[in-house]
Amino acid sequence: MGRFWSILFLLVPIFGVGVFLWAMADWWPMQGHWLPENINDYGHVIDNLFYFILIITGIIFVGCSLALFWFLWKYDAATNTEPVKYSHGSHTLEVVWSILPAAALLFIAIFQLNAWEDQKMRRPILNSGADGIEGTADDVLRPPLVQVTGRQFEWRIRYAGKDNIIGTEDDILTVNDLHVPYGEDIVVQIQSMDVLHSFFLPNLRIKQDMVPGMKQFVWFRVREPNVNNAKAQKYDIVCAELCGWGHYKMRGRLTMESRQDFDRWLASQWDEQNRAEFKLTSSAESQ
Amino acid sequence: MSKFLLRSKFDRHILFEWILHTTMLSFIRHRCSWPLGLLCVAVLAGCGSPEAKFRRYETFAKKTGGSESPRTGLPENQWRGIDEALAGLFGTPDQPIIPAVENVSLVLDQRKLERAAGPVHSDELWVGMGLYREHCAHCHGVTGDGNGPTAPFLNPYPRDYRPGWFKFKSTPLGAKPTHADLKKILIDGIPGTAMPSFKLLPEEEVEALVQYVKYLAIRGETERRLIVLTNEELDEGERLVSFDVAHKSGATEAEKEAAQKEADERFAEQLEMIKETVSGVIGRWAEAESAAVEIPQRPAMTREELVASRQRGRDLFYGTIANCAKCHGDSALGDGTTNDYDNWTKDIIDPGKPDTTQEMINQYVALGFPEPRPIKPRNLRQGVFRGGSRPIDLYWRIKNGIEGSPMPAATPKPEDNPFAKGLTPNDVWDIVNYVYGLQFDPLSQQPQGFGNPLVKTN
Amino acid sequence: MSSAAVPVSAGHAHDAHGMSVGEFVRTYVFSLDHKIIGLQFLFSTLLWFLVGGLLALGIRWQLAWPWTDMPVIGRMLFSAEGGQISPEFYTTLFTMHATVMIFFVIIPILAGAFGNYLIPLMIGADDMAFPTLNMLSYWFMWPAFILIGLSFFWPPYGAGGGWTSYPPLSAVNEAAPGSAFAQTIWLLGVTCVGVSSMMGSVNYLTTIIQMRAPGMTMFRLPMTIWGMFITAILQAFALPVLTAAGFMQVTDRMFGTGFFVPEGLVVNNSEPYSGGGHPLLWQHLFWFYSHPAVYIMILPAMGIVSDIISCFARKPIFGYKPMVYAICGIAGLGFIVWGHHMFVSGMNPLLGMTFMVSTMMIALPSAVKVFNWLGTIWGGRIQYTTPMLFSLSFVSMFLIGGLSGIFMAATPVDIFIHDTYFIVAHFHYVLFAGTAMAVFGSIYFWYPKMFGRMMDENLGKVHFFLTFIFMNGTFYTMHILGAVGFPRRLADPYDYETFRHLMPMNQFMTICAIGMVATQVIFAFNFIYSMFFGTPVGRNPWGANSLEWMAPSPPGHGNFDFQPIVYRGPYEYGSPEVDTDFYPQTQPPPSDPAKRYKPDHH
Repeated sequence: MGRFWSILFLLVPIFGVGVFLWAMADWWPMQGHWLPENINDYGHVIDNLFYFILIITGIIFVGCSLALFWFLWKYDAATNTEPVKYSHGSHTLEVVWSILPAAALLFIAIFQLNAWEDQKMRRPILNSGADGIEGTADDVLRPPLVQVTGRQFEWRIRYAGKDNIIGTEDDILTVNDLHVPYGEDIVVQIQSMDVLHSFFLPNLRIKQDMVPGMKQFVWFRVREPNVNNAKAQKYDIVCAELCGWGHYKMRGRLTMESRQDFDRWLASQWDEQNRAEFKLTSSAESQ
Repeated sequence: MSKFLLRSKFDRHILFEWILHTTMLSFIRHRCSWPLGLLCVAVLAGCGSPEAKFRRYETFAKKTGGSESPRTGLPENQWRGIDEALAGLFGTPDQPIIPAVENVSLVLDQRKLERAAGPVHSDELWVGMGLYREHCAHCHGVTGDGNGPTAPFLNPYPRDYRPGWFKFKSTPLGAKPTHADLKKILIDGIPGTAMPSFKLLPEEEVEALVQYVKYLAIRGETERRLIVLTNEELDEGERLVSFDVAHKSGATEAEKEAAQKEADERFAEQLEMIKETVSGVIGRWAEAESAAVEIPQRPAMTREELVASRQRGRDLFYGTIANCAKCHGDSALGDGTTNDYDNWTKDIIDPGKPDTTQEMINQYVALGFPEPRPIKPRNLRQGVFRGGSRPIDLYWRIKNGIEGSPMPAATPKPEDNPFAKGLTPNDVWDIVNYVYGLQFDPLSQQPQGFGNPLVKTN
Repeated sequence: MSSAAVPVSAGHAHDAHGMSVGEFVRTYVFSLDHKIIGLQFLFSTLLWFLVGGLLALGIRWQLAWPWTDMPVIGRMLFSAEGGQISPEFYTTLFTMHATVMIFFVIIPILAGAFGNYLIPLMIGADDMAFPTLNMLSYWFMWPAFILIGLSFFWPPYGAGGGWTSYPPLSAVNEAAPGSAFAQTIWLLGVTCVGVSSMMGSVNYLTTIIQMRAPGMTMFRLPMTIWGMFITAILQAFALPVLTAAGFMQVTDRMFGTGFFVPEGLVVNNSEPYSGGGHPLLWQHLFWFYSHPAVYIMILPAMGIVSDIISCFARKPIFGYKPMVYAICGIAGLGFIVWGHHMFVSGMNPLLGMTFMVSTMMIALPSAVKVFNWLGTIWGGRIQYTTPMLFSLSFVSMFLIGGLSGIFMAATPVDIFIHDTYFIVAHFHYVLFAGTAMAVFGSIYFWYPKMFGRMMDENLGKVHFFLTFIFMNGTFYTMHILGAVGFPRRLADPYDYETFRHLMPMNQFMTICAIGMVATQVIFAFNFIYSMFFGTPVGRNPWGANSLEWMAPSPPGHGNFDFQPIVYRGPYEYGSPEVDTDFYPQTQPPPSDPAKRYKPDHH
């Protein structure tokens, strides 16, 4: 039976790696069972780190699992005639296999500090301020284009409008439908009206909890696609923090479009928001 | 293969192929899929599933019947009569039918209803079905009685469609909402309530849902009238006709005809009455489409004119003609009159009346009536307007009032008599401007929350 | 047995027949005997294990066939809706699944059941230091069972704030009004579990420090006891924080104190809360306990697995002291890594960096342990018994769970995978594929000690094989879902275009999960059947070294029928000093010094 069980444990690395490769290869029936398309310029680094860790952990996983298999195969009491190795351990080995993983882990940790800062701490700037040097205290930060407020159970969206200030009369309000232009640094101010929500954009590799009482910012930039297929692209906005019974209902939509289309869309929203006349004849098509 | 697997959003073949392939058993697929399928069905499906049923409108029957009536308002056999009449006219939650009366095609469309009705599943072409129960029923209930499992702890309660009253609409008080009104609510949601926006659903799904809401409202209103009819026209022990035979699916044309004929002969008069009832309800829905109130163009204004307009609006707000402050409060925080109830409550029992006892309320609560809560006038300083915040929405709210709530319609000022009390369209626009502007008033601003000191916020 | 055995107290096993009612109650219900208390914990937790597993099936059903009629539960509670559950019931389902599994199964089965049963036996004591406290620690579980059981069914809906109970959702009544009172009693129930665990931990610490048999130095303790010892320290120091936080949230709910509620909060059209608190405070307090709790849930399992692997590899454990230091290291670091649950919670991102480094570092002692387990089976003579198979699968699966944790520790990657099924995969690999497998292994291993009869090995192997296959079918695929960003706790994720195509995968997982739960019927049958019809065994059926195997099976009151004296550590398998391949701790060394083993190095 030892052979049988050894092979069962051999299947672990085989299937373990196999399933991941299968999903990565996008083969039937696991098409689209892998990282969704990334469109955020700041998001590639997350994907790269993911693969980097995947490769490192994959090697350790396969190595350890094969060692486990080999020991199980070789030292099965039913077939192994050698006497037991009466050993209490090896000081050298302990030191080696403490220091190597420690170095690797520390490297992984330090390697990604910069990526983390880019994601969460270095908000894009509008200009570098009086001293002309980026990264100093007098940098003028990019103001948020839009404010997204989580609410049980929808995303209330408020564009800053012409004056670039949120909370004034020229704000443009929508719900669940976020449009942003390509090719620009976009800063979104996020907050919550009631409980915790989490602003999750899978395709942008963005996730940030919205905490009532806190004003936070997320930022991203989407490169303009080729002119040939430069039509608006739509992505999901997901709530990733349990916010009550209707948690699953908090579905939003992000539409990426060119600056002209975006401005046009914003203007049409503004017009609709200020609709101040109603005639019966027009009621059939639009209201 | 099984009813059970069909109910998933995906086709069953996909599921089995997927399982078989991922377990590398594809080579035995043709021999083994049946036993495997049967095994899954046996293990998973249990023994059949309960069918969703429309709930009886017992609160209304009880109220109509008075304190002498049985606990559920009507004796069981009279309820059966109503059940059967309704089932004949409207079908069941799983198989809706459109009542066979004239003009019904103006209001309801059988195919859209079928899309929205029934349990959540997908048809042969993977089209999602059972939309109402997927998106709406857990609040609004299978019956549309605003009493789904989630309903009791929402504030405000989900709408009960059965009286056929809808708050946010373009038509005057008493009229039904237009199709576009209901659709707007579905698409934009109702800010400040638990009604979310369904903007991201495909157009045809929203259409199907609007249709189904109308269907439930018409069914509910018919039920109300049948209850009244039973109470007023029938003797004790007598019940409504059973004419669902004529509509039973599976019956052949000849059977249907015979059954219809028999029912016609025996109960011609009663049938006529019921049909009249239904077509009356449907007629009012059809009329509504052309009953939307027109709104004259808001005068174009400069910044200074807008300020002046708001000042005039403010005067009207606190004045004796519009007198908004009476309910919405001197501060416009919605704290003026806070002890009134909405019509959905008052229709059954008015807790505001001095002779209403808790015991009387409990009697209805036991029948599924939501625990009454006072209706609050809107806090106008938050910029949250439930029926929409476009100028025309606010105009309609002021001009038409809000159905079912204490918000009255504005009295129009006769054009020929400058001394009569009332509001001109420009007066209404002034109030709209004032009310909309309140959210930007310095007094309305919330204190700023604490930020994250290490993330620069400028 | 041992020539130095000095009988001090004959085992006075009571005969259940001819016992008065009062005597029966004292012996089997309000017993002060650590073994009875351990078995009480074991039976209670196994029953809750069943409940938790069925709740998991409810969750899986909804994810595979959303809004279809859920068997049994849907038909019982939602017949008016055609058996279709409501979304808040789904939140209740996953809240209760996690609560039951964590607070009623894993923590009490390790510390309560095996801790109680094994600590006095393995250190050579006749009972716990404080038998009454020990009894209380079990009976304090009952208020928790009742409160949390009630909170599941309390109308209109049970607690639905997730097992993490994040405010304001769980602190403000209006946020989840369906679980108004249920959430309060849920918190009180969790507090009771905390009190019970604290009583237990004080007892374990005292017992292990004070009551070891002569010759049983700290470095001769079996790894199981080390695991329990460190766990008890973690519980003693981390639990007060959770208990305090739980009470703070209860006062927030009942008296409007606002520790966790920001100023002016309005939810579901409630009156504004005076607030003044901060939601993140709860997360800090909660994870300050609950992260160490993760180690509370794994360290004893690591200890148990070390013992079982060494026993069935018939070989001394590889690197005993490094293993002990690794456990201590995990416990120490365990107190400074809680922030990794909060990388995207709104916590200061700078703090996220420090937590990332400490979290990366905690992977190190875990890695050392895995290497040492591999070292232990290297060069052994492996006996493929059921407990050994479960322990080996612990090593294999813990490897997956540990490595997937590195993804989460990396803050930028965590931005993407936080609160997705990648996390769900990770902690199920650690807690189910890890700890639960170790628990099964230890039940098979110590069953003969507990009941004096063997469990059926063939059934055990079938149970292992099916559980292993179905478990991986259920949980491994979760990594793939997580990579797509599939979020946790969504009642119907298929409204999102991004996740719509994942439904067949979820159906596959659900079928595996059903298979996994069904497999446990084999275990339940084996467990109950063997109690009456299993092969009777003597004291030491596995040929193991540690002290509990020197006592009768089952041990009578007072445990040992002789005074155990300990001469060496518990892992002297295959020692050249003796002819047998095991060398019990109580067996005196050979009198002839020439026969004594002299190591080549050190």
